[in-house]
This record gives sequence, C-alpha cells and structure tokens, in this order.
Amino acid sequence: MSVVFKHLNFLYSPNSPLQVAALKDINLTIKDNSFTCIIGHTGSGKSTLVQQINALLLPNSGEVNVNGIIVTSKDNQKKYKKELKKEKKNTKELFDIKELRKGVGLVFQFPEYQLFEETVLKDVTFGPKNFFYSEEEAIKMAKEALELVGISEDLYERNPFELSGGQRRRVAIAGIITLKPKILILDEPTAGLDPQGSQEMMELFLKLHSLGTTIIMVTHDMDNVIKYGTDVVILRKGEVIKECKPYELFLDKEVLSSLSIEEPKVISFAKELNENGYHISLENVKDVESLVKEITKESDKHE
Amino acid sequence: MNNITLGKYVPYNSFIHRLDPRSKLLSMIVLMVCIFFKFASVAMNFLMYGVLFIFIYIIMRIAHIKLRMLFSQLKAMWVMIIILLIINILVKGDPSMGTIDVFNTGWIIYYSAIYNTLYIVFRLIIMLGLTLVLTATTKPLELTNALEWFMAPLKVIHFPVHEIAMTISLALRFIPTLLEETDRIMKAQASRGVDFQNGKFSEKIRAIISLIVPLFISALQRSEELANAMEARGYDPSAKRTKYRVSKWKVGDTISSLVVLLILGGCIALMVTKLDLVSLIISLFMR
Amino acid sequence: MNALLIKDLKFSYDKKNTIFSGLSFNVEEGEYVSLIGHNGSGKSTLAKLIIGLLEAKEGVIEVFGETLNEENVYSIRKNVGIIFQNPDNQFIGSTVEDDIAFGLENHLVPSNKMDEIILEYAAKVGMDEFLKNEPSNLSGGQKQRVAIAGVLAMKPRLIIMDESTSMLDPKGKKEIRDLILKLRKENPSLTILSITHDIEEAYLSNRVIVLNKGEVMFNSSPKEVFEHEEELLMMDLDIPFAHKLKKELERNGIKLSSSDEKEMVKELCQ
Repeated sequence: MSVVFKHLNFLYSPNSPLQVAALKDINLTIKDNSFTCIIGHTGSGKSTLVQQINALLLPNSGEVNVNGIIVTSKDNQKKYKKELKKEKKNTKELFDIKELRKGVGLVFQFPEYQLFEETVLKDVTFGPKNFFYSEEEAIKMAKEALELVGISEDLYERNPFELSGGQRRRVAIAGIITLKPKILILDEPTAGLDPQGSQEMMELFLKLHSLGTTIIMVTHDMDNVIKYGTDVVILRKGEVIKECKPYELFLDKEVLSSLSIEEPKVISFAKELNENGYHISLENVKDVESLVKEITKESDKHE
Repeated sequence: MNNITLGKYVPYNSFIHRLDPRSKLLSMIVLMVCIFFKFASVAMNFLMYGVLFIFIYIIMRIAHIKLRMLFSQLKAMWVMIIILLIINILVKGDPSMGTIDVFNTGWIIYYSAIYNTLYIVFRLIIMLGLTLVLTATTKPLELTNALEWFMAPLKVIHFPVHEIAMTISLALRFIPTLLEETDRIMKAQASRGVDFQNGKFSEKIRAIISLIVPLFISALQRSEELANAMEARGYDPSAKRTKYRVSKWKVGDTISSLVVLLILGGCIALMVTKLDLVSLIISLFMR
Repeated sequence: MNALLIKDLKFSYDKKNTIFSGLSFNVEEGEYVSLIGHNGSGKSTLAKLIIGLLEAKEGVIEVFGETLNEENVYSIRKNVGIIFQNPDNQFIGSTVEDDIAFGLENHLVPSNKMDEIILEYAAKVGMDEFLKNEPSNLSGGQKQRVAIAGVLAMKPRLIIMDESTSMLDPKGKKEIRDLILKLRKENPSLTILSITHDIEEAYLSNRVIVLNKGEVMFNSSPKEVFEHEEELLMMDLDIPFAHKLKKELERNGIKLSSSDEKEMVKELCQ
C-alpha cells in the first residue's frame, strides 16, 4: 500500500491576508512496507504533510493517492466524478474517507490525551466500533492490540487515567493499531518519554513494521532515524528538499548544515574513525551494536 | 476557527489604540446607552441612529478598522434578524402608525412591527461596531485591568475583584491554546473513525463526548500546572501586588470622554424636549 | 555553604505508594547538580517539596540555611526559582513582557522600574526582540527561555529545572543547555539543580545524583557515576554514548582505557 503525493499544495487560511503556503508542490512516493522518517524543523510542514494522508486536511490543489483512494480538494473531487461518470465508473469508493482512515492509523503527539472512556478495554474498542464492527469482534481486536503493546490483562478494566504516563500512551496506541492499519503514521511518538520508555516504544513500532505495516514517522530524533528508518524525507519551509536512505543524509554536508541537524553519535564516531584510516561503510551503522560489529570487522582485517 | 474577528485585537498605533482603556470602556458604555433612547418621531429615531453610526464609522476609520469586519459579523446574524421580523409581524402592533393589508387578504402587518425590527437591527449594528472598536483597539489584558479599576469600589463589600480580573486574563491567555488542543483532539478522534459532521443523534453525542472528556481532563491538568507555576513565582492572591501595565489618563482621554458625554447630553436634551429635528428641517425647506 | 540540604525526607501520596523513605543529600552554593532517575522515581515530587507546593511527612528541607516550614514558605520561594516541564502551562502573561513581569508584580517591584528589568533579563536569554510576542507565536525553546528570564528577574540563588527540556526539540534542548552554561559563567554563585533524564545534559554538571526507588544510589561526578554502567542500565537508565560504546567494545574483546570519544578514536586507530 503505497502513498503517492502529486503536485500537492496546501495553504493555511486561504484567501485571507494571513494566507501561508504550508506545503509547496509536494511530489513524493512513500514505498510499501517502508519505515519512512520525515524530518525538518518545527514549522517545516511535517505534521501538515502527514495529516493529508489521513484526509484530516484536504489539499488546496494536487492530490495524495493512498492505495487507490484519492485525497484531494472538493472541487477536484467534482471534476473526477464528472469524468468518471462519462466512463460509467463507480466513484463512491474513490473518495471514501472512512475506508481510508480504516487503513491508515495516525498516532498524534502525546496520544494519551485522546483517551476518554472509563476503562482501558472500552477505549480501545472505540475505534473498531466506529468502523461498525460488532461488540464481540471489537473486544477480540482490542485484546489483540493490547497484548501487542504490552498491556497486561489485569489492566483491561482499569480507568486509563489511573495508569502511568507510559502505559496510557500504550493504551492510546493500542486504540489505533487495533484496526490493523496497513499504514501507521507516527507524529513524534517518543516525545516526553524517558529513554527506556522511548526505546520500548520504538521496538513496538519495529515489530509492527516487521509484521508488514508501512510506518511513516515524523521525528526530531536522529538516533531513531538511523536505527529504524529505511527511508528519510527532509522538509524545509514546506518543500521536500531531499529523499534518501538515512545514512546518505549524513553524507550530505549541505543539507546537514542548512538544517543544523545534529549527527547521531554513532555516525560521527564512525566518520571520525574513517578519517583516521578505517573504512567503515556508514550504511551498516545503525546503533552502538552495529558500530562495534563494523569496528571489529575492520580490526580483524588489520591483523 | 480563524474567522472570528470580533474580540480580536488588531495591532495598530492609532489615536484610538493609544487611548486609556478606561476612557474607551466608559465611552462605549455611554454610547450604548444613547442608542436605547426614544426620540420624538420615527424619522427622528432613524436620524439619530444615522448620526451615531457616522460617528462610529469615523472612529473606525481612525482606528484602521474596515467596515467589512463589521459586516462579516452581521452575516451570522441574518437568521436572527429574520426571526425577529417574523415575531414582530405576528405580534399585534401599534395601529396608529399605519398598517398594510397584505394582498387584501385581511392579513394585517403593522408598520410599527417593521420599525421595531429595524430599530433592533440598527442598534445591533451600532452595538457590534462599538464592541468591535473596543476589542480591536484594546488588548484583552488592558481591558481586564480597566474592568478591575471600575469594579474596585466593590472591594469594600469583599467582592473578589482582583481574583475575577486574574481569572479573566488567564482565560484569555489560554483560549488560543485550548482551541489548538480542540483541533488536535478532534483530528485524533476523527482518525479513529469519529464523524463529527454526519451521523445519528446518538453517534453525535458520542462524538462530542470523545472530544469534551479529553479536553476537560487536559484543561484540568493545565490549570494545576499553571497554579503551581504561579505559586512558584511568588503569587499569593491575598497579598498586595504591583502592576506592570499602568494606564495613564492623558489629555486625549479627557477630550474624547468629553465628546462622548456631549453626545449623551445632546441625546438627553433632544429626548426631554421632544424636539423633532426632521420635521423642523422639512418645514424650513417647505417655507 | 549549602544551598540545599535534604535530611531523612519521607513522603507518600497515599498509603500504597511511598515516594521517599528517608532521602538525604545536599547541594552546595554555586554547584550545578543533575538529579537523574527513571519516570516514577520521585524526581518531580522532590522539586514540589523544595518550594513547598507539597508538604513532607517527616524530615528536613533546608534552603540556604533556613528550614522550610509553613511560615517562611513565601520568603524561601524568593530564593528559589523553578522551571517546569511544559512550556505552555507556565506561560502566565499574555505576552513575553507580561510573563516576565508576573513575578516582579508579586514581589512588589515598582511599575516604573519594571521595563528596565524586563529588558535586561529578556536580553540575557536572547528574547529581547520578542517582548510583544504572544506565546502562540513562539517555539517551545523560546517559551522556556522566557520562563527562565521570568525566574531570573526575581534574582533567585537556586534554580530548579524540573525536566525543563524534555518537551523540546533538539534545537530547543540545545538552546536551553547553552543558556544554562552561559548563566553559570556570568554568575558563578548561581546554584542549579537539574532534574532530567537527558544523559548528555547531566554530563555537563558538576555532580550527578541518581535516584532509584526514592533513594540515592550514586552521588558523585558524572564521570564516576557513569562508570557504573551495569547498575544504571538495571535501573532503566540510559548511559552516555561513549560509555555504551566502550562497554560494547569490551564485550567484543576490544578493551579501551578511556571513556572520552576523542581518546577512544585515538586508541582504536593505533
């Protein structure tokens, strides 16, 4: 299930003196089963970009094609419908937002703030019920999701607000992945968590990714980009300025300095070694463990 | 949510912006009183509304407020105006002002009903204009300070004037934050399949609950953290405080207040003497 | 002289959850101390106890030699400034200048002197060009800088940073980190107690105190504390990159003597 942006433009407060172009002519393909990280400064349009995928914001022009469902402006929808009517094709499914949202889960920053039911289980069944699953099915789906995020059974009937911050976030994420979305969008999923909590959270997403979910993650954390990302998209002032593999980003001095991105320590350490005679290929450096593996490979060669 | 213009401060450095918020608040109240006077005749009423409107229009010009801003506010009120008209038509009016027999069907509409509706519309426009001028030229915080100043005498009867002013200014400070939060929670629930626009009544209720509960919880948490931050910075509601924003009453304030009081005086004089300027002018021309 | 002395502190929110059962440590005047511990180790509770927002069951909290009690809570708060975690929820004024003024108003600074003080402290944190800005037009890092200016303007001798950088992006984190170092350079007698889980930030301080289950586990220089990698990892705490790397290399049979990145590169390239 791929996501294809075509000439997408988005304006904040259009036709007013405060009009701002938040996204400018975005052409981008997010590959099926990728773990794509979207990076850029605060205000570069990262969150605006991912909200188009879920039709929470509609583009002013251009479109996003999410596996056959098209997100586009109301005017464009009319045009499409007219054309398709001539060809006597069904147009209903083409813009089905509900179907779209069923396949695309979106985890907002601090998702624990969207909990509202009296019990953990009830909150997680809220999503499936909105998509017309029966009570039984919803409960079954919820339990699977809760198990996946590591919420134990004795917490199911507890009030979510009695749980710790980390647990609440897990419950909120369970509420989104319970629909088994093909695409999962994450907006700064580890913000405010301690290092341990944030690592556990990332391991969870890695697991979902290995189960076949396409992950699109908006983040500031370069350590996570290099460790988990398969692709990276760099935004600046509403424009895509680069699409590449994570390690390639850290070879591009121009982009690095223009965005003042802080290099992950594993990368700068590997670079430092390379300057002093090592030949570590940055592509293989993802975290401390893989860096050490590369170092030992090299020192074996030396001996 | 960005199209709310009423109550939004428009930063300019005009004469009106520089006036003391107290004199602006006072003037607004006085002018609002003026529009509720009844003068000698219907024509006279409309003349006075016209004069007041021109006065406000001039002020708006000085303060860089566009007439469009005023009328965009009125847009939302059309329905209300039509309902008013219908109610007024259905109610028995004053036959002495004349009636119309609609299409000779015996359904009688009183002129007074139409006049009354028009009065309300004109008052509404002028009132909106006044509030617009006040809020667009005065920062919410200054306005709260002015309110606090006017209510100060109530402290004698232990009315919590300062606490109320502080509450209002904190509420004003957090309105944008909470709007942002509302937007975020709505989007979060929408991606969980909530439809805020369509659906049955029971579904709508659930949709609203899924918005209100998180919003309320986060507002409570915010207020607790805010209270901590305020206390940590030495705030004690019962203690004396100094004020950063001290408004200074200047010559301009005295003059503008005098002008407004003069208008009030004129209105009262015209009302008491029942002087009908319109028929006076007409009779002058007829001669 | 002790800026802060905590002796046998006991505190619990309810019967089940004891947060502290006899906590003791001190912070000397002019020191920069980091307090680390995983979420739920009672770090933030401690900050609230020190400025009297919460009341301890037993034990002594001494701030600059004065024992905290109900009567002197306000006078003690004059010496202690605190920067909280959420940039939005501690922005009290409607603009930058109003927010800095808030504390001055509470401390009865005359109105005609405020402008000068506001400008001075806004300049100190690099926010003097944003005096009229509303919080919605500021980044998280800028809001936290304003909070710091608001606290500094009250001339505290001890500043507590209660996870003040945890909600910021890397740029904001760096801004605050650099600002703290700059402030300490300008005023060496300023005491800072930083409650954090940012290990790299803790590395900048003079001393690191590690809290676990309401008790002090380690209390010494960052270098020494982070030598205890095993124990720290057991407590769900992170360790700095260099220490992590050294340990991992050791596991793979490469033993290095240094735990400084530059030195390590040198050793590896010999």
